Amino acid sequence: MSQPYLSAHSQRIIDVTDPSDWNTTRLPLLGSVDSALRCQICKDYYHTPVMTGCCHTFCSECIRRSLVREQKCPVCRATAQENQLRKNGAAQELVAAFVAARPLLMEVAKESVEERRFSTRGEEGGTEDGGEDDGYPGFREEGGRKRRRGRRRIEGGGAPDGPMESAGGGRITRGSSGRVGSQPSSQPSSQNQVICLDDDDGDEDYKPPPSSGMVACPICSQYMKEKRVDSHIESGCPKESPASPRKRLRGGESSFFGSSKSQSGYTPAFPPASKRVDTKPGAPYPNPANPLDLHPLPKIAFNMMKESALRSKLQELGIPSYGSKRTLQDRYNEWLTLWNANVDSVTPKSKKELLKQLSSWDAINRVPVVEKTKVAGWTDQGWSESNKSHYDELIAKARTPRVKPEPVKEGGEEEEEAEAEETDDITSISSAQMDGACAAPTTLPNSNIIQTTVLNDKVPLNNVTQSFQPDFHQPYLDQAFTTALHSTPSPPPPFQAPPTYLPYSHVNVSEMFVANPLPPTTVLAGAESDTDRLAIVEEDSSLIGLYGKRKYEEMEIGCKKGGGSTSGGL
Amino acid sequence: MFHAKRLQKELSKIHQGLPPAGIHLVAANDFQEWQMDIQVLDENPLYHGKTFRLNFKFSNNYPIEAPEVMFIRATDRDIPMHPHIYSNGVICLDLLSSGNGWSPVQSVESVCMSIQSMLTGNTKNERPDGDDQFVLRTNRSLRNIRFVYDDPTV
Repeated sequence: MSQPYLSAHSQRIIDVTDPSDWNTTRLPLLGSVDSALRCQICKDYYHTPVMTGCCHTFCSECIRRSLVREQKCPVCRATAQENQLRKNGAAQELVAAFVAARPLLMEVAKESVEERRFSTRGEEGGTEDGGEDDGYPGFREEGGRKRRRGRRRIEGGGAPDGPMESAGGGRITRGSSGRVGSQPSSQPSSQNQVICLDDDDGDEDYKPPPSSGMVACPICSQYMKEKRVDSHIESGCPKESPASPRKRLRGGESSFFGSSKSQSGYTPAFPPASKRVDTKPGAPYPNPANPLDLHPLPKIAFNMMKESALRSKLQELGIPSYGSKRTLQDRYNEWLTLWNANVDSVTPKSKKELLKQLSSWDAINRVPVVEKTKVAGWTDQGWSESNKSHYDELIAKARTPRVKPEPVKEGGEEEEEAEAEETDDITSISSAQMDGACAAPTTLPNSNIIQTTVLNDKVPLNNVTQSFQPDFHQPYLDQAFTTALHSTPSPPPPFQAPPTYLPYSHVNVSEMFVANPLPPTTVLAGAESDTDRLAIVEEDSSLIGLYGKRKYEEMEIGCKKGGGSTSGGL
Repeated sequence: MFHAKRLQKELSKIHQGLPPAGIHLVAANDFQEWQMDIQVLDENPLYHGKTFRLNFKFSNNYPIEAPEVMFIRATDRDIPMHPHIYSNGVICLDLLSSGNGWSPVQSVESVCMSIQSMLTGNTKNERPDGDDQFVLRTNRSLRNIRFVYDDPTV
């Protein structure tokens, strides 16, 4: 049934089609038909089309992916939610029909252009037609065959797709599985017509019966009593036990489905009422065409969930559960998208296929940390040894200013001792940092700076004339660093780094990397990747002025997260 | 994958269909980075007879996530004067930021058109406030810049 559609589908991956294809043919107006059948997000033909609350249609996967990002309709910017999505069966049929007919239409449209150009044949139209039928599994014939097949399917009960609900009568086609490939021109049997009506009643207009007093959780959109919602959300959106709600819903809905049930004598494998409660109502409606009995997944309020809980949740679902919490969230969302779109689909894929898709997503979106660090055949110690001279040089450089300066007032010797101690500290710190994996390069120069500035600045705090303001608009630390290195006899303007910002370096990091051959790998150990970490650091140094404290705090959190992920992995 | 497919479609559309006047594809060697040339078509004295080059960077989440778009310099291509375009080419336009004005239904072509019309409507021969400061420290990813969009007239 779905064969023509599928084959066309795979075909169009190879050669990309576009509405503009029609421009050059004799039927340029078909271009607008073509584009009307395409999802505006992926610009491809609707694949399992669903409609938003504002009646715009997209592929199920596309819109779900978009809604994860932003709960707005991409076209009109009206608020949209996943649980408002409804399947658009009409669009699906149109697409299937058009895609099946497209190559032939295109051929005809192009041929007639050529025909006109050469304008040789007059009455050969008839033979033309015959030729077409030969070349292409014909228009009419094929259509007829399909029609017949479609009919047979309805009568015989969905054999090709396997364990489909094939019990009595017309209910089989309820999920429109029988109609996917069938030509829209085919006259629906009277039976079929009845079914269509039934379908629409159930699908498009379905709302939770208002009398039942059930409301959807705003987060996971399970239905429950209004009273329960608060406690439900507070407890992190557990799966609601459908016990009491189910009963009530059934009662409320019996009028909905009771009649049709008794009419057709069909006992659905998934009683609609209970299905609706059991599953997340993101499920637009029960999908009897769905042979795998797939249930849509609920959204998760990640803020309410600990990393370990999330991890075990992913394990439970059978999807990879490595990575930081952020990664886990993203992966869950991707899986949610894939899975729920698959649930919508008339011809759902197996979980294995979905997992494959997920892993390719994983591959694209993450650079595995392990490979990065292993590749170089790198050891911390080896590096610190091979670059010892360079480090020594740097350390020596950092020390020099302290030996020279100070037209000091008093206690010069003591100071020098103190200096010696402190510089010792520095070296010990820096060597420790060379060993320590995380964040070495930023803290190494930083500790130097702090030391130097504090030392240069022996003035007691209350004497500071030009007190330091954390004005990040000035590249002050670069300056501080350079003045510290090439110290001039006149003491630099005294300032003191505010304690809050001590853990961070605001040094121009790119400069640091030039001067100091610290290995990128050391930086990386906690971070997702080379560039990531660099980006973070760069941001750190330069962004604060622009975004102020808030951004800064965000980054702090980000850093903590980064650190957490390494230890969390243990 | 997702983004490659979508960009492939846009590319074929640009190749086959006629892109709107004043918009030309310069380079699209991969699905990471494209360059487009745009021209302002009316008689705006600021931009008359000039062509500007836009650089598009696409992430893997492309239609869902906004591309990074900025003007770049090249031979004969300068950064247009505009109160919302910094002299390093960064464009302050809500359309270009995920979570603000970006929507997955936008495309390279539509972005070009938006920027084109943004230029067309401009009469001020000036840079944004704090351009010097901004340019000094913008050696980072565009994605990390947060703008405050306050000018409804653009």
